[in-house]
Formats: sequence, structure tokens, C-alpha cells
Amino acid sequence: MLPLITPGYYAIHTYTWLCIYWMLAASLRFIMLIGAVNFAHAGFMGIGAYASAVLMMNIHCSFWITFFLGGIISALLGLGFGLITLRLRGAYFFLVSFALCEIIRISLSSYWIGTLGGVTGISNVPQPNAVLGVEFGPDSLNSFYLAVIICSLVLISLYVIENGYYGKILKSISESEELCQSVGINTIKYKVVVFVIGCFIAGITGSLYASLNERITASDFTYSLSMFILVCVVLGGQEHIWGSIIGVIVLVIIGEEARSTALFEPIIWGVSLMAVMLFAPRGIFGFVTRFASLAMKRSSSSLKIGGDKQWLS
Amino acid sequence: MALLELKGVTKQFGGILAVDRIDMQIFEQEILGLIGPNGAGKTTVFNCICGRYHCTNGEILLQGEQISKLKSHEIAKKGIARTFQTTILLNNMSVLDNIIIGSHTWGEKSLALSFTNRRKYLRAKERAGDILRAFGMDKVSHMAAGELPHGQQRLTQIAIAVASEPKLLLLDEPVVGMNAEEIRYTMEAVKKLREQGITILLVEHNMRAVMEYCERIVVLDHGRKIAEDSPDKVRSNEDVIRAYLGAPEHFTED
Repeated sequence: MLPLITPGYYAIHTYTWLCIYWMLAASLRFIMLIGAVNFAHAGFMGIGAYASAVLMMNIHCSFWITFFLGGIISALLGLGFGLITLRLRGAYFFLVSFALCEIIRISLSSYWIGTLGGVTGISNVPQPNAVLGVEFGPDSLNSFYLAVIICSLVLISLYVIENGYYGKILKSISESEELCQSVGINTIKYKVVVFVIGCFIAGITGSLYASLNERITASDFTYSLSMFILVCVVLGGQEHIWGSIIGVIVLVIIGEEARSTALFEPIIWGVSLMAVMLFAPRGIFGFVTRFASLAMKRSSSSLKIGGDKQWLS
Repeated sequence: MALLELKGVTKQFGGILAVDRIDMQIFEQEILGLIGPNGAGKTTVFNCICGRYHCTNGEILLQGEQISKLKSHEIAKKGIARTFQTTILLNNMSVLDNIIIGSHTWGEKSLALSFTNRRKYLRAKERAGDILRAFGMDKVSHMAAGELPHGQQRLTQIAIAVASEPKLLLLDEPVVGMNAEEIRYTMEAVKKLREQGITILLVEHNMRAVMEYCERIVVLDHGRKIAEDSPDKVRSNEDVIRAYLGAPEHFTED
């Protein structure tokens, strides 16, 4: 594992962050399969993080329960929001979700200050409880492994869903809702289910983040995090889950390299995004696979309607 | 009993009466033509039947069951499939995948459950291959639907609708933009579908195709039904000639 190769607090921290971003990017991309760009993704993560932290600190639930509760609460919010707004198309859904992200951030920092801690957020979020003698501390190797395991499970399940028949339906919904409805697909149901799954993953990512980071504030979950994740997905290439994984790696590396010039970080995201849009519209992954497939491209056969006269018998 | 029955179907858009109290019956295993000049309300009738619009008044019965309040995906599940006037395909997906999506409602349970039922998905795939073979399109099954030539895109559109095993197939100008050979090929395919037990409602501007392949024709004008008869009688119906054809030569050329 990478931290074993490059040990140290900093490396573990960075790699744990990679896992968090991977989960976010993969779940955002999953929602984007139905053609909806969820700009409130960071907000849903925040809901999960706060839900988990509050439940652990006030009701003393175990992390292993609040981990899922954070996801479920986030998913319920996603269900309500999705049922109302997923009928909107294209840029309108994007705008509404942008508004939701801000509403969540402002609500988290201005209401129930006694519980949610206002602008200073919540500190000393408890760590995951020990399991079979394995302890989890902040930035410990075990916490990193925990993040890796959860992240892998999430990525694998999303990959499996996407590549089954279910994924085909999602792709066809993003291509033409009208056609899907005409063949009996209840498109709004599928869209809501996908959105709820995406929000659930954002929520559990938040729960994990709250414990591993020990401290959460509402300003961790602003639209700029949503933006960062969105840039990761687009930069890496939306067509495949590998695109999201690559996009996160590239942008985290850029971010770490640019840390000394933190002010310029968003500029670097912007420039790299523009470069990709201009020169490789299908993202890094699409760019690479296109070159690979060009090498083995087969010529297509001649197309004449009714090439061989076979009919329904 | 009629397979589909329209009773006094009316559709109003604001102040415009697009369809005005239409009564119409479609009997099992017939090819019924629906014609009329542009703006006569053909496509509106179509959209009312398949649930894209809800009619303002009147009722639509499928085998005696009221369907005019249902949504389009529910109507599709009842066994009414449609094609579109302007081709709508899943352009970036393979032709085979288009057909598989088309067979969503086929079989006992909805295919979505085949996320856990791989065998059923494979059966749907195999069946999609059979459908494409029947349409003579198996050679292009792995091409992206958007890359097909126009004629084959129109055929794919029909194949998607057929894949759901409909009782009633609504074809909205299936042969638009095709050459004579392609028209004959497509209409022969439609005829074969009828022989398999699918009832067909055909909206078409191509008079030759309508006159040759339909058993009965309903003529609309300004949202009203002005004639319903066999092709020969429609051809000589005074109202039809006046409203739609302008001059009788229209029917006799080419």
C-alpha cells in the first residue's frame, strides 16, 4: 500500500483524502449518468458529516451506526429534493442544486448553534470505535485502511450497477427521456433512485470525513468543493468510472503541488478544465481510450437497407 | 370488440381546438390509416392515445379499459408502443442496446430486476438479436444508432417499439424521407408485423403507402373526423377530396 512506500503523517493524510474524493467523484458521476449535475453534492456530504457527528456526540451512538445514519439522512433529503426538482432539465436542475448547496451551508452555520456549533463547527468528533482490537486514530494507518475499504466497496458497487442492465437504463434516460417513457420506463422513478443512491454515498462519505478529520465546519461543504469534484469528473472523463478516479488523482496532485501558492489553486483547476474541454472533450480517460481504439479500429461494413432479405417469419 | 376505442376525444390547447370530438375504433389485427392535411390533429390524436397529452374531454378505451388518465410509461406497459415523427433513438448506444431498452416491459417482470437476474437479461439480448435479424439489420447491431443511415434509423425506431411486444403499434410517419425501395421494404415489414398479430395505426403522408397497405382509413380535417372507410371509398369521397387532396390527380400519380 502506498503509505507503506512513502510513510508519514502527510502521506497518510493525502491518501485518505484521495479516498474521500474518489467516493464523492464516483457518486457525483453516478448522478450525472441520468444527465443531472448535482451541485449540492458537497451539501449532502455536509448533512452526512453533521448528522454523524451530532449523533455520536449527543446520543453516543457508535460510529458504525452513525456512518449509515449519516448516509440515510442525506438520502432522505435527496429523496425529497429529487422528487421535486428532478423533473427540471439541464441547467435548471444545476441552478436549483447550487441554491440548495448554499442553503445547506448557511443552515448548518446559523441554526441550532448549541448543537451544530455555528460557524466554528464541531470539534473533537469521536473516532470510529475499535473493531476486533483494531483501533482507529486520526491520520493513523488503520483509518487509512478503513477509508480504502469503504471507498473500494463504494466504487465497486457503483461500477457493478452501472454495467448491469440498470446502468443501460440510466444511460438511455440521459439520451432520451421521451423514448424511454414510450417503451414503458418510469424515468422519474429511476432518476430519483439514482439521485438517492448518490446522496447516500455523499452522506456516508461525510460521516467518514467527520471522524477522520476530527473537526467539521460548514465552510468545508461549500459549492467550491462541489466545483472541485465536478472538475475532477469532467477532467478525468465522464464516460467511465476510471475517469473520475484519474481526475481526482490529477487534481489532488496539482493541488498539493500548488499548495505553496494556494491562491492560485482555483485558477489552476480552471485552466486545466479549459484545456481538457478544448483539446480532449471526453476527458483524460476518453483521450487515452480513443488513441487505443484508433489503433484497432475495424472498418465498418457497407450499409444497405435490407442487406439480406430476411423477414419476420 | 374493438382493441382501442376513442369516444368523443377532444384536445384543446388554450383557445385552439386541436382535436374535436373524435370517435374511432381500431379492431384487432388491422392496419388503420389516419390521414389528413397538416395541422388536422393526427399527431395530437396519437399523443393522446399514448399518454403524452391527456385529452381535455372524452375517453380512450383499450380492450374496454379506460387508459386516458394514465402516464405514457403506464400506457406502454398496457401494450401500446409508438414511433416518433422525428427519429428519436439512443444515438450513442448500440442498435442492439436500443432494442434491449425497447424490450423493457417484455416478459413477466420488468427487466430492471435483471440487475439480479442475469439469465433474463441474456434472454432479452438474444431476443433483441432475433428482432434485428427479422428486420434484416443484424449486421449493424453493434453500430451506434446515431451513425446509421436515415432509412435504417427509421427501421430501428420501429424495431424498438416492436421489442416491447405491443398489442397496438402506433406508427407516426414511418416512411418519411425514404426512397421507393426503402418504403416498400418498410411497409412489407409492417405488414409482416400485422400477420404476427400486432394491430397497427398508421399516420402517414405518403398516399401510395397508405392506400396500398391500409384496410381502413380515417380522415381528419381541422380536428374533426370527416371520413372513415376503405381506401377506395376514401379515394372517391367528396369531402376528403375537397378538404385534403385539392385535386383527385393526387391519388393517381406515380
